[in-house]
Amino acid sequence: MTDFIAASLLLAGVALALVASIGLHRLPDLFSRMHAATKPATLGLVLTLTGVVIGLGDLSAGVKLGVVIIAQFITAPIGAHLIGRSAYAAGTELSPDTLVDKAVSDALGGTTAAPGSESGN
Amino acid sequence: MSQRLLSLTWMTLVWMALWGDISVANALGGIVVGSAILLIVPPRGLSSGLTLRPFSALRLGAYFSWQLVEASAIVAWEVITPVSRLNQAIVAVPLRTRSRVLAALVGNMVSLTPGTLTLDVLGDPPVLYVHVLHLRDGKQILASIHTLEALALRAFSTEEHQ
Repeated sequence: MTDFIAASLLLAGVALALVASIGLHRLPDLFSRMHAATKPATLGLVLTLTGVVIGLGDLSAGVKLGVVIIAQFITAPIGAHLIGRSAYAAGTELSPDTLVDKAVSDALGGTTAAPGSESGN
Repeated sequence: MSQRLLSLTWMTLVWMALWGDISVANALGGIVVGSAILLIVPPRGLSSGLTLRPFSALRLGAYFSWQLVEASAIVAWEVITPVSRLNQAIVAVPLRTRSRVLAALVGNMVSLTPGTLTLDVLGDPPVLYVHVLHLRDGKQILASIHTLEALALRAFSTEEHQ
């Protein structure tokens, strides 16, 4: 039973990591790709490591991997935040249908407005 | 002072967790490394106005975990299915808290909840600039972030709200 649970968690986690990497390829611009690099990648890591801990049945490994999970929860959003912010400030092209309010673009110090930008919202 | 002690305790615990072993030697090692870190990077007293309400924190944790599952499912669906339902936008979301620690916490959590990614936090009181994957209704994005913020405030804040 433990093996079954561990294997299912491992499979689910690896599948999410695969989805995250396909997302990096398929999504249209840097910003949408950061979505793929944060959410499914984080959940995938959590599921994989939980599977490993259950499979090993070892408390000391569990505590170590717990630290890894906490680190991932802290670093994944911070990394995405820094990449997204610098990319925007550097004028990285947004996908053409992205809606950006003028005030928002000014506040973020963007050098290029999105082609589809308009006021409202 | 108590904040330094708390940081030191936390770092010692993490140190022992990383060694995967509770022993006097590891505890001492953790205290030495933790003290060195506190000496090199002194804490800047950011945590004033914060408390911990365990029950509310658990609720926040449960809500956030479910949101992470939902967020992953939405991104996965967008990636796997051939049709694109993307409708991207960058929106400004004013927060109600003035605490920079809580703004950082909410900003981080927003990046792991459905369809939203924090690009920047500016101003005082802080405003989140959020990249949205599937914009349908701006009000709904605001409402979901404010729900998250309200749960975080209930769990950690001593500020007066509402």
